[in-house]
Amino acid sequence: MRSMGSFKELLMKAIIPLFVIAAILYFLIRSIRSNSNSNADSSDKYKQPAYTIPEFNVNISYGNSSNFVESKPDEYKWIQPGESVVVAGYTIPDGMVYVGKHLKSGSSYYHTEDPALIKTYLIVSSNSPDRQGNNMDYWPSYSNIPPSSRAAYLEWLAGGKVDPEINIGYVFLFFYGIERRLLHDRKHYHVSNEEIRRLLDEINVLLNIYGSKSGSFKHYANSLMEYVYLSITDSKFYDLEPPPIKYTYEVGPLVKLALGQLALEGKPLVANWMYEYVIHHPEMYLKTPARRCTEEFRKLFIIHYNNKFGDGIVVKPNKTNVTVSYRCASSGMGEFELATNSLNIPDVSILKTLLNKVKPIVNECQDELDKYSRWLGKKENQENSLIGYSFLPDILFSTIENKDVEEFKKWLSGLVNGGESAIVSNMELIKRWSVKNSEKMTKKEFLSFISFLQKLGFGIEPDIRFDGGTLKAKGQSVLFKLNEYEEVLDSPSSHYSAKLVLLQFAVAVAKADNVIAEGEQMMLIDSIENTSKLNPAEKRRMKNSLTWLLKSDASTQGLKKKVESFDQKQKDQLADYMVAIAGADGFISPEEVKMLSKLFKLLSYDEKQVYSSIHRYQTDMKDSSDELVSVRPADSVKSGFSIPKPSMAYEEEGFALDRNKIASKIKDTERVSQLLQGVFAEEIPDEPEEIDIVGNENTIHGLDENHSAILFAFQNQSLWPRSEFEKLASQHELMPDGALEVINEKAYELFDDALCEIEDPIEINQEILKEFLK
Amino acid sequence: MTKTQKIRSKDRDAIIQSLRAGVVPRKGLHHIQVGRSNEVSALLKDISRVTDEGSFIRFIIGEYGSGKTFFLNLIRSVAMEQKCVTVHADLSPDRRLHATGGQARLLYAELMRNLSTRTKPDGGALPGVVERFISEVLKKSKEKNLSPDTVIREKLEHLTEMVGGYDFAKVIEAYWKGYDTGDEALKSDAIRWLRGEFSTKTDAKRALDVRMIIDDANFYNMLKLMARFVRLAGFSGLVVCLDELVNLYKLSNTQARKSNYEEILHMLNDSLQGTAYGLGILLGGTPEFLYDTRRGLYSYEALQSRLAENTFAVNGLVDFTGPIIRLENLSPEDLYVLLTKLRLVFASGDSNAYLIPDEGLRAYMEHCHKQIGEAYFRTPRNTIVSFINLLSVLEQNPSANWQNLLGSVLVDKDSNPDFEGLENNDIDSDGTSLSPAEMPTSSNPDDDLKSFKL
Repeated sequence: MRSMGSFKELLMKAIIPLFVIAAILYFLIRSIRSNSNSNADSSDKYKQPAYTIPEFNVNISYGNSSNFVESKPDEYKWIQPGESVVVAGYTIPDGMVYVGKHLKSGSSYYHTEDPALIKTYLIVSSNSPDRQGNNMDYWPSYSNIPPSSRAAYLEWLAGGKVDPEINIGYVFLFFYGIERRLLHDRKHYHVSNEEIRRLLDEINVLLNIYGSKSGSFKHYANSLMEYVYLSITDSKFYDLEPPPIKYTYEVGPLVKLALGQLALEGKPLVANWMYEYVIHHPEMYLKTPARRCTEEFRKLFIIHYNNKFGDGIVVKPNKTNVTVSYRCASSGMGEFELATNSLNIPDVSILKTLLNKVKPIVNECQDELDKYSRWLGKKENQENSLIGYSFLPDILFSTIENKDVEEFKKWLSGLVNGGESAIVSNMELIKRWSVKNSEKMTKKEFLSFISFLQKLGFGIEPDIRFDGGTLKAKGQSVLFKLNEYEEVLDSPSSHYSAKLVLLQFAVAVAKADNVIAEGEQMMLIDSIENTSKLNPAEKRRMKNSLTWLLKSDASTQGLKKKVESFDQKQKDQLADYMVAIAGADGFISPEEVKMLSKLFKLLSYDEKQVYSSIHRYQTDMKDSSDELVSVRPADSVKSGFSIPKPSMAYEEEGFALDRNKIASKIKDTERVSQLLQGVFAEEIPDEPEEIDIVGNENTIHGLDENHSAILFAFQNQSLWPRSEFEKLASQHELMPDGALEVINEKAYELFDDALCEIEDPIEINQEILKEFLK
Repeated sequence: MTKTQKIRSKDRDAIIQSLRAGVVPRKGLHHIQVGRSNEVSALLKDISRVTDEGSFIRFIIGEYGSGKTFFLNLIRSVAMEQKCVTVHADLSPDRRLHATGGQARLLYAELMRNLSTRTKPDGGALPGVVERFISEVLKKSKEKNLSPDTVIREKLEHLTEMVGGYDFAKVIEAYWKGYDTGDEALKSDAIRWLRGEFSTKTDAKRALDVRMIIDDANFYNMLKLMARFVRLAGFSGLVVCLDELVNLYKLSNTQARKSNYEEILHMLNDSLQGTAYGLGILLGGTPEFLYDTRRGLYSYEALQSRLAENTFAVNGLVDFTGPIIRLENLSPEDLYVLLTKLRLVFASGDSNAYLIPDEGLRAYMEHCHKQIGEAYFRTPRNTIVSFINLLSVLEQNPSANWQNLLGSVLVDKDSNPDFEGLENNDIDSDGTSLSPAEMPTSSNPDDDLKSFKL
């Protein structure tokens, strides 16, 4: 018992794992099958047979006919396309089916009978055709399906294979036959090119009807066509047309072969094949723009790819080769490999480096198309409107040919009328651009308008991107031509912004007296031209911005905010610049002074600073004008904004003396000394008529007798109290003060000094007196 | 610069003394004038125009510390040298061009007190001018055997056609009478009248038998009259220096301000139209006095348009014939050159007798810069005072060396009185305490000397 029991136990122990293993195998197979079926259209009730189960596909034929025993030719017949055949009362009009008693399958493992063969002797239940395919098998085979299903199949064939509602299993059944004909038969017998073409056409027709219903069918049909296509071609793969786009997430064989062949021959990977590569590569995630705007994306990719890589990337052939095979849908057939597999064409599509090289381009293209794609995505937008075009990248824009665009461009050219720029009414612009509110363009609308203008080679000021406002119906703008050789600007540089603020301040000053003098305008333009920090395109734009600023009635509002970020040095520069503009016409009017005061306040200067600045400007002008004094070295000559040196320079720089300035000051001082010397120097008494009078004993140096008498009197006394002197004066009939005035004047004239101080007592300078009496 | 030119010891001492006291010298300014040759040359032409019976008006605009007062003094001494009579005064709340409360008369009085000639350059020359006139009269009366009264009337006849001219002539006659009869009171009354010191007509009538007095209403007319008179007295013209015009700007009453500007307009028109004879007017003010569009000259439309610059004088062309002369702010380089000038003055013009080398000048400036920052050259008064003191010490102690002394020099910062309250400007309302030739005052002038230690 024990031994029996133990045997039983042993048996049980052996059986249970066997069951377990069997069960596991069963579920494994099932799950693989169901996995491979998950590609199929889920609405398809009938489960498609699994086509690719590599683990179990052990005895498949590899096209090697050595162990293949062919059926006898009289046992079946391939009905040629165009021929018709009658089976069980159904007339099949266009052939393309195998009919007969027996047809050995291409693969002997699963079936001995090929599933596609319509066995003429089998029962067909014509009165109850199973169109739904309820009784269809996993791997349908005409031989094995029930009579009702055969009836449905034959009925479908007889009906021209067009019923869209038919179970996909019947379509596959038919497809099996074509597969066999195109792969198996062509290998062993002659199949005419004409027939191949007809068969491929047929697959295309089926694809059109059933492709959308079954992903699985679509995949097989496409793959078969491609395989056949590749197997019959005798030209280079890269010379072929790329296949129509399929959104599979793998790089197709043709693409691989084309790229590989290019690499093998040392040729650059050309753009159109690289495009196929990127859109199919599983690791290349394509965003909406690339999928929505396929054609634009393709064009853009090719342009960018060529811009970056010229004719294309050149890659060294790698060791992994492309192998192209076709695993048949039919269970009666195995896998077929392309003859070219032996050519060792490298599979460059698997190279990570290649992918990484083109990834940025793809992203760039998608980004550039993003706006356009979003715009297209909105239902209300129509593809061909001008606004839509404004979102296109510039490079693509130039490739479109559109009547409306041409007309718009003509209109713009008309506005500018042969010149470089023109002042246009905003109303006119708004009318031409479809906007929601006829009073003004919204920010978005304006942006698209600006972008459209830019594509047509025009710019506009004010431009919202360049610190300008939006476009309002009343008002004017400056429309100007862009120069195609200059940089395309999309946003202001920091220099541009800063300079624009300067300009806005300066224009406010220039306009203060309601007259923009030529000098002021010239200086503004010069200051733009002479700015080394702006490129030609920026200068062009800024000059037009200036035209607009001068024309418009833009207020000083908002300027305060713009200078908040200015440091003191910038503010000083700005302040000096404004004063220079105000004085550019040679005169700073009260209105300009008023405006300057206002703007200085915005710069948070003390009120008095404006007067000091004006004064300094005026004296600087004077200074620099003096040719004798202007010995400043050339490098200190004002550049850029032509702003006078800030007076605060010394504070920043500490103690410093400018030797050139000293030299010029000394020169100037010499001049002034000479001037003054002419005034103060001692005069040389050379008047002859006065010398004549000297001959008279009673008179001295042309003084009259009375005054001379006083001089003689001075000889005796060097200190005269006032009262005494008055007496002396009256003795000689002279007024005391008047007499002294006359005598001193004479003394100055002759000896450049007074004879006496008019004080009490009066002190006589004896030296002068001696001179007098010589 | 003629370095060999000898500087007279009198000039030298005058310059050193004034500068040491922190005031602008009245003599020998030409020895220490730095640069500004264009401005000086323009003014020289102006003055020669005055001596040719012409006229001029100039606004001397400069910031505090730019040397306006110095410049005005220089021009004044040039004018005196050219035999002009000069009068000068600072405007203040009590002294204006136009007023109804006697302030214009006070300004006139101040001007007359400061009336100077070459022989009496510090003011008080009015009696001398009058007597010189009368001396001429007496001479002529002797020659032609006419009574002095007749000659006086004859000479002053065309003055009588002008406003106040008749009474003016009468007052001159009164002076002569006072002299002739030994009536000192009469002489003194006549001078008082001429100085605008009579405040009521009744007093004037009683004292001099004249119907009018010099008052607010005829301020400018009397100046014009005086200009004619000094020519008759043998001088070549009258130059009027009015400084601190910022005081008009400071008037808070709009009407009062406007009336004063109207007076300036009047002067300007006369000058441009040539209706003033032998009269030159210099007006000193700060930039805000000129430019402020609410309270400055620019606020007065008619004046502003006449002050407009020559529109063709742009891009480096300068027109010095316009009425505005702008004085550039002082720079360190200006100061440096001034120091070389002062050194030369100390050496009496002998470059071999320098007390301090160039290197010392630099070092001195750097020292000042360290002490008071950029004020050392912007408002250089104290810098100059200390420098003069330094040179004095070096002169008296030939063994001392400048390097050792330099470290002990202390320099004070100067402050700008223009921006202090109005009260400061009242100090000389009695007309005696301050001479207008003085530079803007600092609170304690003695500080300047105290700051220098050995």
